[in-house]
Amino acid sequence: MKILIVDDNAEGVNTLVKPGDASPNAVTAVGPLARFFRQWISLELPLPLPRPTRYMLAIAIFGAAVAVRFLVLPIEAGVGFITFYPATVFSALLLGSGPGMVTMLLGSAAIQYIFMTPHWSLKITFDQILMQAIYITSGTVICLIVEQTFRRTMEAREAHRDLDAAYARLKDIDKLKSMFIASMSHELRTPLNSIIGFSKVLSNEWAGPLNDEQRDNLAIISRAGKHLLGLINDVIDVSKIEAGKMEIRLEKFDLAEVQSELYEMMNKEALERGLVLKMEVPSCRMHTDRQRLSQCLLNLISNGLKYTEQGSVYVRTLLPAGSGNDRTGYLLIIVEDTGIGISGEDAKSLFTPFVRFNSRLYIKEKGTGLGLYLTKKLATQVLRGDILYEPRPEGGSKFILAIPETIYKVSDSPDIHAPETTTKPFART
Amino acid sequence: MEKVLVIEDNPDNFRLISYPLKRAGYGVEWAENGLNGLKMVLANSFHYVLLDIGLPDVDGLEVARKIRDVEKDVPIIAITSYAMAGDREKALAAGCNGYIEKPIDTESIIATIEAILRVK
Repeated sequence: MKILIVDDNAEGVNTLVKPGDASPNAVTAVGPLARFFRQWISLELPLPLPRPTRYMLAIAIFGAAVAVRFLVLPIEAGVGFITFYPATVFSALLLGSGPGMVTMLLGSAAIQYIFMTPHWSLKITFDQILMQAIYITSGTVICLIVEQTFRRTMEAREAHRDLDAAYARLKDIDKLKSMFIASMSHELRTPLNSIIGFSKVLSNEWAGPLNDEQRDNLAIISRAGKHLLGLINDVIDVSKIEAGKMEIRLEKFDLAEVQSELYEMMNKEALERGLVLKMEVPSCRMHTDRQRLSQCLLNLISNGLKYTEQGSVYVRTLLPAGSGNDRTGYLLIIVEDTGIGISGEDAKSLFTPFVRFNSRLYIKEKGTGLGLYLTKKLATQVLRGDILYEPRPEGGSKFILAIPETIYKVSDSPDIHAPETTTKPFART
Repeated sequence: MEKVLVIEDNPDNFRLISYPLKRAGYGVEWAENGLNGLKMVLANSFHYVLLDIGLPDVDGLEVARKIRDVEKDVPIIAITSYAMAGDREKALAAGCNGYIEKPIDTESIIATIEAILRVK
């Protein structure tokens, strides 16, 4: 049985191959005749039986066949093909490995001959010789066919079993990978927290005054540390989801609270970047994983801010169809920006991890490479909804987060979070 | 001056926590493992205890329970890890008054602690 392992990583292959399996079977070219003889010599039913059992079984079958042959002689007169012949072939195959089988066939031919010659005579006719020759030749052919069919079946079954085992092993390895990444990331986080924490102690001048250059350098350390921490947190979340260990914490809450918190958090960043963050916040009771919903929205909004140089990021919520509290279907949260957007080709790999787009802004604003991948995973596997991307015709991106789940109570007047003196960058549709 | 005991095995973490505490006017003392922490709680009177849940010798939760057995009133604030989701609930069940999460935010730690102490 052979398995082809396609893997660019030699380590990965080694873990799949047991030490004993390492040498691949040599494939040698043999002529058809040589192959025939080799097969003949090695003919043996691939039954998982120890040798003594095989021999005893072969002799028992053969003995029984002789007895039957003797008893039914009047009926089977002249032809041993009904009982004696199959039994002989089967016991020959049980004995296997050439000589045993040849002996068995020749022996059975001899017995056949004795049975068929009721009055012992030394005169052997040509007919009789021809008949025994046919008997042995056809016996050989039948042995070959039976053995080959049987072997194929057994091999197929074994191959199936091996594949199952390999598959189980792969799944184990994959799980191990996710667990390794999760615990590794946890270990990475401890020293990283020291780096970030002490950068803050220094930049707060708790340990003494700083000059401008020191302050700038410290800001770089802090930024790099936070970037790394974000990456590690994303990796932990992704590996948790992939290992099936992400716990879903259902909570009842008002969507408006979550969105207001996010607005507080992100508006500061928007202002720093000279952008406008506008948020329509309807009051809507929900029952889902609050923290993960917040994380999805945070990722979408911060992406919007990151990849927009001027203009705004606009978040609005479309409540499910229906009126009042009687609504069914998906709640849609739409995050739009007036940024550089993502072109048609790139949009296809938008939710793939570590895909980088070749635009100046995408190169400048280093993301973790996991943000949208994780957001998609969270949206589909934790929130049980989905996330879609649409380019805006007038430029920029539009992400739609669709969430099913129970919605209790909807209030009719939405709050709007937006700076007061801004022109509306988005035409309402 | 109010005295705080920090039971934390990682010296870097202790140092980090002690900065904002000292600046806020607390007297900070350090126990580097659960056993010493217990001894110090018994020998001195602290105004509150910051307790790392992931201690190497005695489980932090066990330390909290032991403190509760002898020192009924001292507020205990658990330091839990963001990654260990169940720790917060376990910490509260073991008798802690509240928790702060790692990574420790040096800027908001005082406010968080004071909020917990006020609730108590």
